[in-house]
Amino acid sequence: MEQITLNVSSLAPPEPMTEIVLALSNLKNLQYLKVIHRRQPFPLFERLSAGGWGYVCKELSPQCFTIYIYQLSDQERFLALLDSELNRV
Amino acid sequence: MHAPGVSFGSLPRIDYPYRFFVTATFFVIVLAIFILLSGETPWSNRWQPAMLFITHGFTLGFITTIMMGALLQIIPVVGGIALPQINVVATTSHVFHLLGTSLLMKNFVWPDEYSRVLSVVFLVLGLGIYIVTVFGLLLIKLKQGATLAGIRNALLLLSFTIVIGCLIQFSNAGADLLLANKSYTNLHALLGGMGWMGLLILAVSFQIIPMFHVAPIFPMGITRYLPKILFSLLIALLLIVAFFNEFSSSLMILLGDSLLLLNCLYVIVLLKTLDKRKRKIADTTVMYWQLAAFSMILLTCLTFVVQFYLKNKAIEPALNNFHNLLLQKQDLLQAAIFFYFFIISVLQGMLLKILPFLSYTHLQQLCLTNFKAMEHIPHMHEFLSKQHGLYLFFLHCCTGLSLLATILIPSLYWLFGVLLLVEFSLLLAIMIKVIGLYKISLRKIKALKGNNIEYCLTE
Repeated sequence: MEQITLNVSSLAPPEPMTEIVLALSNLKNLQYLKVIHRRQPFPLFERLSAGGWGYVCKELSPQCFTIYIYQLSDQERFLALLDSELNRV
Repeated sequence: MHAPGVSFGSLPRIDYPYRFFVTATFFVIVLAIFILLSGETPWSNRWQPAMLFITHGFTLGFITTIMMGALLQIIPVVGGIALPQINVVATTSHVFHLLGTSLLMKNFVWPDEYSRVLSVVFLVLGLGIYIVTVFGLLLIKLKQGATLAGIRNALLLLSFTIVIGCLIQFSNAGADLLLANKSYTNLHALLGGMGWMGLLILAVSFQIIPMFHVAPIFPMGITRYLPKILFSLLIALLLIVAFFNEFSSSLMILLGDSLLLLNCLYVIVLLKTLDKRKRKIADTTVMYWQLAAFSMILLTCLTFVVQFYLKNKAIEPALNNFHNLLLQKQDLLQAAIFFYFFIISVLQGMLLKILPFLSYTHLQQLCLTNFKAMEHIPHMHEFLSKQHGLYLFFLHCCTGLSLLATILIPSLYWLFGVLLLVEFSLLLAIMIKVIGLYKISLRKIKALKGNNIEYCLTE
């Protein structure tokens, strides 16, 4: 799977959401999004599953979060990849 | 304080806060017309009935109304849960608050027993329903961060403000409830101003400054202790007045000075936090925060100059008239700087951020399962242009300066009235434009989704 990285940590609302949504609309098959954010984007989380997306959110510090967003159809493949990536780190 | 992400899943309908914002602005437009028609009389001292009309028009009619509307959005967002029976609460509290405030203002200049009684009943109902609902939710359901705890304490101080206001009204009608001195009036002003308004702004700023301006979170020492200290000092003031009924004692002055110094500490931290924001692009809201912060510092300096210098020191005869004028108009000048330059500056700055942000966010929420619909959402600057925001800011500065000038030279009342009318007409126009653009975009998105919409402005 291919990772597309998006850093929205220096953007003020509502730009982070807009950028994430646009990035998701451009994702191709077997791609997933890694978002670097300074807050947890709850409004996004609440809507992702309705749109066929899954997500994993990791807090690195009080103002730094990494959010992985993937197609639900790729869930098994993605979670295995994420496990190995996190174990490597 | 750890600033968690915010939750939008329980956003109330957008028209709930907007009705508060629009009616609040209308109050000031009515005030401006009243000021133009009233002449110089209101400006001689704070006890003039027309000045009471003006002060309550600002404090209840504009400031409290805006805050009530804003909290309807902020609490679900920060706490992540919807207010219960939001439709009933928003509608009834809005209507009763509107009626109560209007009758109270009318009663100051055209008194009669019916409007006195009805104003008290409606204000107690309107604010009471609101406070009980919000306060109840904050007590029961939400984990407490500094912002929510601060909002809860601010609401408690608002309750005390209302109770004292009612007692003052009944005392004025002849009931033997309070001693006839200005202790309780001063306490009413302090609890309402520094308590309800000041504490609420402080608590909410802990969330919205980092969120909207990509700034670091406030230092934990400030967020954890400052709201509690301010709240405790105000409660101490309340107890001293209630049990000793003496406002001019050294202890009262010490508490009042402490409140000012603590607020100065807060605004200095606020300025430093804003200075550390990541993207230092020109932002009118930041300018409003800076204006408010410097105004608080100026207010503190003015208070101490009058207290420790002007009242005690011999003044050159040439300056004697100005010295006497400052002493005579001290109360009005302090109130003007606090309410107009501090509180209203913050509220206008926040409105410039909230109005486009709420409209955009509500529309964006409708598009998260249909990305194509997002192309119908206007850009944030289409909702509210930077230029209009700047015009409003400069008008606000001019209006504020004309207010201070009018207090010192009452014959300038017409200038203040005109500038106030222009400023708040512009604010109203901005609101109407944002609402109009929201409705147009909503119609386009509805057409794409086939009318299956959760949120809409009107049905």
